[in-house]
Amino acid sequence: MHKLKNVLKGIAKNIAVSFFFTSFLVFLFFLFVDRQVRPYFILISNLSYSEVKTENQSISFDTVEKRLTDYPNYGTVWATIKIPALNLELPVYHGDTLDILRYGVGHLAGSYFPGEGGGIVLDAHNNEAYFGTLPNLAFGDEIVLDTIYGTYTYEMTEAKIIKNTEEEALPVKTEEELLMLYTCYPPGYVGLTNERYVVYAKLKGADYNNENN
Amino acid sequence: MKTISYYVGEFFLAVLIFFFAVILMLQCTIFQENFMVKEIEKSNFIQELYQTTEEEFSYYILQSGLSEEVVTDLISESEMKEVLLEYLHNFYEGNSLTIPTDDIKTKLEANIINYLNQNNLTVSDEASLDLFVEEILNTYQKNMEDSFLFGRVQTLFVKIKQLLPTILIVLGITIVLIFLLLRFGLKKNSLGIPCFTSGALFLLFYLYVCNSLDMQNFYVYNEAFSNLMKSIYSSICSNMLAGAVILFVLGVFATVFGSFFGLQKKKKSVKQK
Repeated sequence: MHKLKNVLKGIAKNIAVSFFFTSFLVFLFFLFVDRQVRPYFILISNLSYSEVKTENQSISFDTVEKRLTDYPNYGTVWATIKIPALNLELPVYHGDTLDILRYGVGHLAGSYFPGEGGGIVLDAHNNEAYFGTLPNLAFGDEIVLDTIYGTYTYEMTEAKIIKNTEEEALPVKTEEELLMLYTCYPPGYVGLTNERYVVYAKLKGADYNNENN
Repeated sequence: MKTISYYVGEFFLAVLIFFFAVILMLQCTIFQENFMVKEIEKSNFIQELYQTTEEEFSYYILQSGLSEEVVTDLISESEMKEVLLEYLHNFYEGNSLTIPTDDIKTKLEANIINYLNQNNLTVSDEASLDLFVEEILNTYQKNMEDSFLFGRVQTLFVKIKQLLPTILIVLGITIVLIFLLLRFGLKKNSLGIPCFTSGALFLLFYLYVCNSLDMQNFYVYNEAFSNLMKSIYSSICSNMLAGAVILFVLGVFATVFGSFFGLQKKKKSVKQK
């Protein structure tokens, strides 16, 4: 009994001293190391994502400020593009990675949204199901962007064949709202091409959806 | 003075045992080629990478005017595994890292020619086809190299790997020397406190990392790499927890044996008197 008491006493004493040592080392860690390490932990944690939404979201538009108050998540559908002259109707995704372009039209992140008064760049592949028929579009033809916050109608004003490096042909900052539809040229080409076809269209009219404004 | 020296010695012993355990854990995990091979298999890395690569090949089909059959079965899953394990081996050995693309290039070019002949298609601009082949090969190479992002830190990694055994030996010798000094110089039982302390530190370190890092939904570059990282992280966490338990158990043993040993010694000295 006496032996057991002494052993337990020894363990308790060791644990008490260990507790003191540990507390001291933890204090030193938070004093000197935590501040250096935490930004990296935050950086890694920020690389996590919760879930990619693929359905339409409740994005809204401030008609006074003329800008979106909630922006769509990257890789999600936020509009439908309709080109009656080409009998074309496609979903528009925010972002334009090759993965996104498999499913529809991509919206260059960083370019404006309809109603914001700037350059809106939409791009898609050059096969018939997507933008391959764009060269058949004539001046004055309508392009409709149906978003959750309103319907915007544009009128084709110009078309150009450019090099893939000509970024200045796709201006984001513009004096008036300008829709640009962008695809590889020539359409249905075998191989990869360095040429691009751009359709320019100016805003003709807008119908706001009051519920989302 | 003797008591102060004893506690100072115990403190340093605790810190050294903690670092020894951390380095040993790293040595047995990420710095071990076998560990990485196991993690690659456990996280379905090859299957995921294979699927991702095939899918990315198909992105270029839409804009190339060719058919999907041109890029189908350019490389099999087992061939990809072979290439990746060779790449991994070279990484650990410090050899140059390259992903061979000759076989794929030959297959792809043959597939394109077959497709064009079968469908009576002519190519007006050969350069555009070369560009397509180049893009496919780049996609393959990039996927293989980038999915194993460690490749970028190979020089530093190999240096640390070579240095670890030396650090472990130095730490081990220092621990034994301090232990002997405390045991025979100061005549004190000296392993209980350091083991308890380093066990507690291990446990707290584990809790700190688990609470600071959100690895549940970690996603970088692609599914394959993200899953591999999550699997490595989870294995390291399990090892940390196991290390904490082992050190605690060692602490209990050292204290119990130390107490018995101390008691018997005390009894002997009383009898002698």
